[in-house]
Amino acid sequence: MKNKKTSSALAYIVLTLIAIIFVIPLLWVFVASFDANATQVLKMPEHFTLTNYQEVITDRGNQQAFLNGLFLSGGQTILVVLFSLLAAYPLSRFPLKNKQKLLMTILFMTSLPITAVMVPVYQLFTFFNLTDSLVGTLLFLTASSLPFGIWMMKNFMDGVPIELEESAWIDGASKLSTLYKVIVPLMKSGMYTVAIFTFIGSWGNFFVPYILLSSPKKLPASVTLFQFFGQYGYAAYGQLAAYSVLYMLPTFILYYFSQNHMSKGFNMGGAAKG
Amino acid sequence: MNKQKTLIGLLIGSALLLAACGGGSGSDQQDNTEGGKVLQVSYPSWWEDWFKDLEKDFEAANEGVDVELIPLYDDTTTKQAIMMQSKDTAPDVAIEDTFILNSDVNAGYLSSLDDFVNNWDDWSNIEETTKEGVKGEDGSIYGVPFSTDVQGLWYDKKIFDQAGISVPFEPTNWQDILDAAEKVHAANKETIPLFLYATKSTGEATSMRTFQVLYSGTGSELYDWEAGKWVIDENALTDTFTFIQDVYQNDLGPSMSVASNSQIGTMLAEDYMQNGGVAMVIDGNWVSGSWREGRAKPWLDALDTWDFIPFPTQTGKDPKYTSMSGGWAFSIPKQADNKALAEKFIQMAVDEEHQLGYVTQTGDMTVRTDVAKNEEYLNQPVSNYKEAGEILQYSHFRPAVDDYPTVSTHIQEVVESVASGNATPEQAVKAYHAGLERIVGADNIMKK
Amino acid sequence: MQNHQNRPQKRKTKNRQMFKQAAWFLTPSLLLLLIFFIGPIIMTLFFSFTNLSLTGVAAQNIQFVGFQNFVQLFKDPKFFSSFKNTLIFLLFSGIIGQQVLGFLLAVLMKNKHKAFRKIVGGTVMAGWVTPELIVAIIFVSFLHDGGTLNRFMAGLQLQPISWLFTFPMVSVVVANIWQGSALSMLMFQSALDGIPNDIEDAAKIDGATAWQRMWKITIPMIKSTIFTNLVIITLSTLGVFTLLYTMTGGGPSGATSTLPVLMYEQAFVNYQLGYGTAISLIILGIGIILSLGYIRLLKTED
Repeated sequence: MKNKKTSSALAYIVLTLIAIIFVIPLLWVFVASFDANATQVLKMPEHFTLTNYQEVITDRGNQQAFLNGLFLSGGQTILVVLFSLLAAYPLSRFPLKNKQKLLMTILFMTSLPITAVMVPVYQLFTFFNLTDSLVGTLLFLTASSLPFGIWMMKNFMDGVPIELEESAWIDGASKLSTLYKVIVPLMKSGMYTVAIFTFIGSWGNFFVPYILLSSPKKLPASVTLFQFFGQYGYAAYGQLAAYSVLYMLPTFILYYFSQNHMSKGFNMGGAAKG
Repeated sequence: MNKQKTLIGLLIGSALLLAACGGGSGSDQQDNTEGGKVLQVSYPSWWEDWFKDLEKDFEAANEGVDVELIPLYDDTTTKQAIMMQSKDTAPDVAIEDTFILNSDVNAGYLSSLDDFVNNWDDWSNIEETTKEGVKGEDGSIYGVPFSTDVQGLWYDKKIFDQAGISVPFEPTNWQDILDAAEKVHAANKETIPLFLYATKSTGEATSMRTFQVLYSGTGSELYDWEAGKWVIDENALTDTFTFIQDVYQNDLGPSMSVASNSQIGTMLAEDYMQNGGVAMVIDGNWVSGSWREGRAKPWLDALDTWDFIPFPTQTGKDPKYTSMSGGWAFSIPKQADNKALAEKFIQMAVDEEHQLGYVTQTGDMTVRTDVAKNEEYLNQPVSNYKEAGEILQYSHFRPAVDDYPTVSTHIQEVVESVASGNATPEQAVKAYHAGLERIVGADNIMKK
Repeated sequence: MQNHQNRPQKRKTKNRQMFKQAAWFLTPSLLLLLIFFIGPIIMTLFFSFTNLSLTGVAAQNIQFVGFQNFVQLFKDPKFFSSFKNTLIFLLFSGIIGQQVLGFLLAVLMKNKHKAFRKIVGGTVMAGWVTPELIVAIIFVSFLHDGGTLNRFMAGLQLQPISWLFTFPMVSVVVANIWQGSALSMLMFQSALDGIPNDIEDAAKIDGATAWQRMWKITIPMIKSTIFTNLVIITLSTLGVFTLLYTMTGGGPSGATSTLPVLMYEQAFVNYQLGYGTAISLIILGIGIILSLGYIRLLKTED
């Protein structure tokens, strides 16, 4: 009994330590963002200020960049969830020929670093007259995270028992309405999981929009933040930190709303096969 | 459940809002085609202030014209090349670094400006040497120069005094510089005796401001224009690498972690040079520009402390000094929509008034012969145009052939390997040769 | 389902119908993937055998050069060091780092107080929720010469270390573990929750030590999760670019240059697009080989 207690206490200590280690790097960005004389060191601000935020928020370019970013990442997330849900249905439910091969192909596609195909993608964009188009960029971003989305969604859907649909089919429901009425409600957790995956991956990506867009008015926040970091990153720490905190907000909000779904989603996909 | 509804509401709401915004910014594009009222100008972001001035002046002088500024950050030449590939994204006015201009001509990105400059009186006021840098291999003009610089040796007179080195410092060979560095080091361990750009993170500066300044002082050349081949001169290369090794491996240079900071150029001018952190720097004449009024860290008395002198050749043999010059030019992409307006913009940007404004703001050297004689130019506070003007005659240019960017990246890597102690000068020569062979092919290399 | 087999004719029409429906469901995804993903991959394949360049003569006069890009690549010492770095980064930050830390967290957190789980889990999740670019910014500040870590070490009378310069690979590996471990933690948590308590209890009664229970019961039972996790981590770590590029730019002296960084440099800094796409193709190949390897492994284990 005593042994168990000490090992349990040890676990608490180790976990607390890990948590502290995890939180320290992050703490800096919050504290520095309120510091009038921020440096790279984590320290209590001598002069508490909101000026850093004010400067970042009132900048019209930053506002535009934020909206552009939300359009790209938000739009991408919605499309990926929608399309991968549709695609996952036959992959999960129908005994299709070559299904395994198709799934493998999809899986391999996820391994491709997007950076690696940017050159051809740019030429493709020139060909389709899509360069400097937000919608074009959105479509490409959607395509780039679809393989992983489909693969996850299919695994989640495998966890939803088929019996429920069969009774719906017997009632004469179409496949699409079965998907919508029977599966979607049970898939919510999986959908949230795919959504948050997609959004976080997209929100931090500066490379794709940097290559595909050129008008400053269309650049998303990831690009402007990267540029800010390159230009002032070694001087205006306070503003950099404030910008970073603001930039992190959407992903944290999304996570806050979907955290419960996420752990459920993983329970569903826990039995996922490779 | 409530949470979920809020989230879905938020998502849909923002999607709608953004779709509206997206549509909004999409419609901006149409302005370009309608009547040619928008002039797109792309430029590296460090010229933000000057281009804002140009925008204002040009819009004031041309009613109904909207100048759209497109600042480029990070890998500017790459981004610009990409933009020039497509009619949709090609700016009307592009800024070309002269080392890449010829390659961009070969790539078919730029319009010939022959007709334009031949019918433009002001063209004759532009320095002839700088016009060489904007000629394509076909002999046509593809750019209008607006900026040039020279490299030389900056040294801190006060630190030299303290170290017992006589001021003014007049080095006649590389050894004089190393000796001075030794003395500074002996007198003061806190100060970096000699700063050389020597890592890949400082990019082209490592290749041009360090390697090529030194190498040109050996009397050899990187590329033989007559033969059309790259040159391997083992002695010259070994000597150049040895100098870099002497500086970095004997505590005469900065620590590698300082040298690897990609922002070190700014940090030198705004911090190290202002606070006795470094005694000598091989850099451009424009460093003093960043000490002027209105810049991030003005230092109006800087030239009481710092002096800018020509960099000696290796052994002091004629012409005694050496330098490298870079240069920037305005060009008009082939895919530009508004070429006539672009020409007008360029004419304004390099006229006497704006050229003077440019050099006042940046500290770069003028490309106009009339401005070069202008008292206002020569007597600007915190400027060294007289010294820089003297150095120009010793200056060399980078070989602007297609393979130069790749070779230059390779040079940066080899220089870094020497500075960090990972390679001896002899190994570095071998590595340079092997890399050059890989990049340009053995047929395009000659030994000297 | 069974009676279908007795009626082959009907089954055939049913199949065709099903195929049609499947096609409809797959259309939006397939269309996008074909245009924006498979298209570029095929172009990558093609370009990797050309001298395509971003500027210079080769930009408009593209030529087929056979295997020259690959020959050049295999002669380039930078390629081998980048290849090695890719594997090191993958192994330590992904396969070992994220996987082991995630597993450890999940095991330690099992059966702990709910509020405590939430707090610890929350801090770890924060790393995953933080966008890659911010992770880089945070870690550059944290590890900088004058950053928090060095200040802390000074407090302990230790010499400051320029982490990003002296231990660049360790620095980026740590940053990537910080960002990615949460995912493994989540996956392992849900897998562990799925193990019925009575199995463990029975083993305990039989006198199995905690270590034995771990190896004999827990790990075999969550094997499929381990493999899924392995595949996801491998594929996502292989493509890491933003983090490395922002933190170290691949330096110093190429110490953190992985294949994606090398590819970027060749294609976008040296303008050699053909050469860069050849590297892309190799990255793609590594991903496929590793995934196939994992799948084979999983199959033989079954």
